[in-house]
Amino acid sequence: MNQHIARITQILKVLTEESPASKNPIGFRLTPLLLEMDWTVKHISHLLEKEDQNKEDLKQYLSILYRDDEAADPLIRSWVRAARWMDSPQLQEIVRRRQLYQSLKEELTSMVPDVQSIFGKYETRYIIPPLFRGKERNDA
Amino acid sequence: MSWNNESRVDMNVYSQGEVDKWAYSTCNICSIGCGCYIAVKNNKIVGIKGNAEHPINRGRLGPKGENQWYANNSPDRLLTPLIRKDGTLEPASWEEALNVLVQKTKEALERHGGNGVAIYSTGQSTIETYYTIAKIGRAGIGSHLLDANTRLCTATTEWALLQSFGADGVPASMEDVDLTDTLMLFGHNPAETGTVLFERIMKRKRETGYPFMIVVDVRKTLTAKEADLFLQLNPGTNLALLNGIIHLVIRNGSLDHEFMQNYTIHFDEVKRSVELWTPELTSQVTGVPVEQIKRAAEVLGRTPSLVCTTLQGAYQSVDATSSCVAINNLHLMRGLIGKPGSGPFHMAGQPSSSSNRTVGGVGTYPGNRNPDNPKHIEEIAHLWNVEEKQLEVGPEKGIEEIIYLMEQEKIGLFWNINTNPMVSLPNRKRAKKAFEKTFVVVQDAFLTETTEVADLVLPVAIWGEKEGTMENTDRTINLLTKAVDPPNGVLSDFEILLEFAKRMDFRDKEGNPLISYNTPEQCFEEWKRVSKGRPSDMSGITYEKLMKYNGLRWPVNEEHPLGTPRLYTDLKFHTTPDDAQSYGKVLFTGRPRTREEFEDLHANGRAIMYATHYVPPAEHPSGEFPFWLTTGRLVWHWHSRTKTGRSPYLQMVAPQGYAEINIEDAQNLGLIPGEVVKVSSPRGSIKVPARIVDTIKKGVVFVPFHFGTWENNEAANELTADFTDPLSKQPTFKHASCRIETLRKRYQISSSVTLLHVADENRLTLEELARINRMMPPYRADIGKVVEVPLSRVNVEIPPYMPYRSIEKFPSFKQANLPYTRLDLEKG
Repeated sequence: MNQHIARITQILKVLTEESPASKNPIGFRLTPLLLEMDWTVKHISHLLEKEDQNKEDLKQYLSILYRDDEAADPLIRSWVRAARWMDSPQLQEIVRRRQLYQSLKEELTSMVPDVQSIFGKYETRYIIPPLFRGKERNDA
Repeated sequence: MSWNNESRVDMNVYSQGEVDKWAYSTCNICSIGCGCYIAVKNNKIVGIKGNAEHPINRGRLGPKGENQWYANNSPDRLLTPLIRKDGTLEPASWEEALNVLVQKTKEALERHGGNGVAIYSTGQSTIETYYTIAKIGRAGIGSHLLDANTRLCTATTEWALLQSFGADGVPASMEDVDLTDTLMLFGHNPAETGTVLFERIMKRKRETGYPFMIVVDVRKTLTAKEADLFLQLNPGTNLALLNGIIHLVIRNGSLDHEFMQNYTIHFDEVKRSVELWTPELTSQVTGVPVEQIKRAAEVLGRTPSLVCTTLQGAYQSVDATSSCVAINNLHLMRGLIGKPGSGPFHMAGQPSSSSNRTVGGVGTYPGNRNPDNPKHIEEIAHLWNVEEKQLEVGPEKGIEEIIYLMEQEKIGLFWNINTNPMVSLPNRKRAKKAFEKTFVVVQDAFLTETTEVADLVLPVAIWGEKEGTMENTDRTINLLTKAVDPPNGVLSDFEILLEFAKRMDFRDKEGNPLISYNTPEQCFEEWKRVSKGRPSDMSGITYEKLMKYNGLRWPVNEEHPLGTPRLYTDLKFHTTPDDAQSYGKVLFTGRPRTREEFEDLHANGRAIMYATHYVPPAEHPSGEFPFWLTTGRLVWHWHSRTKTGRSPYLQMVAPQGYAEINIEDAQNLGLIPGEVVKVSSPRGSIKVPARIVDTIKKGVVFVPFHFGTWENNEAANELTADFTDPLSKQPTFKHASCRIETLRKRYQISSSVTLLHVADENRLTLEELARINRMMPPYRADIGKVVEVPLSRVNVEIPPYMPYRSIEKFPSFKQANLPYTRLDLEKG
């Protein structure tokens, strides 16, 4: 999980440092989500470094991280559409950010088995939303 | 007492000789839920009449309700399943069709798992159908992707209620509308979308002077014309206006501090969030004059009782959930909830959209159960006798996200039940491409725009041909009985679902069939057990009681055997962690809360107020697209006209689409009434006649969304954008940008081609020709000058519905005062 968190941290660093890319209102809604994700992964990273991890805190931060994505993903896709339709000069930049965000999502997906190994499949259901968890049934 | 107990039985029957029987039923059009009887002769539906005893309508019906029965006898009813083979839909047997459905479902499950199947249903079906969808979808298929066309119309109702009160269920009811001193209709046009409710309001108003009506709308609708105070705001500024009003209400000191102290949390956050919204700033953003804002705040701050309704003008706009939550905030800060004549009354649009939410066909689990709460999941697993692990958990997905998944080819089967998304979805070109990538099953009574992209079509029974129950906009559960059998070869949605479950061999954990009921009434009995103890408790309802009492408002249980007119009379809200239907979302971003975050609110039975921060629409007029585009409904048609388009009367009254353009804009463009123009947005274009009006502001264009055939190029949703509210995921149909282009042919003036000649040939007056070409009298055109005329012109006259109104410009008969004179026109 550490590697995934490290990559997510890198991606969020880029996304948040240059935020917002445009004055579109969607960007205004997205920025706090990205900042929260950034803050959250830093806490996760910090917890993972500890010998005696506080599992309740880790569960809480992971839950927030994935729920941030639930909100951010449709917003980013809307942002690209809005930029195209409004002929935004920042379209290319917004598309680049969308692609970066896709990479972040791939990391979140790849992280699922790691989370399951810490919390078990049953509890992971309440941490990670269903579409990340793929098609397998979640045995307790 | 509703209507002062005065009945008027509206009737629309076409029969030679006496009717054989009148079957007890409920209207299946809008969300008001009018009681009615269906006329049957020779086993055929021949009409309808209102139920004089039903407290909702006391016999009255709206124009669509009166005409809904024509569809039952339409000669183009689908009578057999259809399977697409080599690009063409071909008749098939039920055996063949259901085998295909089962096989494709299994393939999708094998390839993608439970979330490879999405079910998209409707707001016009029965509780029993939705409950069965919920059970099959969740416990059988294991899908998290259960959505409905309610996402497009009233998903925001649910989220506004979850956020503030912890559970679904409108606090107020029509009984409170009958009692209130002040009624604010926010983005709600009942004169055209709920005519019986409007008549109820206006009857009382004409007799007593109450309620004081505040109407907030972008358009000067027929409802607005009856308002005591009409606030015509700019598109996309609902929340700005509400913030401004609440700023003043707080500043004027019109608050119930004791109520807030005891029964709410987070007022301070509200106060901070509206601090900057002075009347001047609010006026600048919304376009509403300062005096009107102050007047609204004065009324809303002083009124001893208040009901606020909301509908699509709020729900299909930017900041939808935030705006409705702001209205909840207003009620809470004034203590105007849970008592007669007071409470937020967030409306539903469709006759049964509320019930789909209540029984878990969309969104949360049946009986207001939280998909993020292990205790609720355990409960439902126990009630259904299935393993918990079979039931998916987590935040819900809306149709825009499902379309995205279809684009990514992650959905193997899309099961569309009794709705027409190829007309009703925004940005429909995108939706169509997504549908073409997936195996699409469509259940409908007719071929529609959506069956054009279907791989499998199943013909179904409609209203009058099936029994069941529905929940209207104010929690009233109504009964529909079966008046006639459906045509030979046609099944009901309910029957198809049961057959599907049997063929898929869905079982509970003891190996018994997952679906053990066989009739809608048996299903309802099971649902009652599931609902017991939850907010939407219906354990005290039976079909017999529903008929006897003409509808009952939930909860109906031992404590309230005849139902509950209003919620929260005990001021206890569902905001304890194990009671709440949802842990809610962060209002600004839509990020779902965790359980811990919800616990940290320490609401514990108190209502939750929220800071509300205005965000303008993502798309706005500029450059190439200088107009606002907004869409909406007509009184004469319902949705995509699958039913109302088959009523000869309704179709004759409103046969086609159009674009409403402001008079000044029309003058600037040189348009004449009825001229066919091209309306384009960044997504597409349509060609429709222009209806030139003074009821919309300069810079705004209105297009009704009912006319969505593939060939006529009038579909509003060719133009709309598919942005969604961050909490409810409801699309913002009310805001897009567009431009208007004329479609003209040209003539060069010569000795034989004069202005008069051009006018005559094109059936224009000289004045019209002059207006088109921006000519001034004496209308001289030199030889060689080029003049334009419209390629096409269509007379678009949409008559009003309510005969008693005196608000139209052209004459109408007055029963009390004849003859009709010019003086009456001047008065009116």
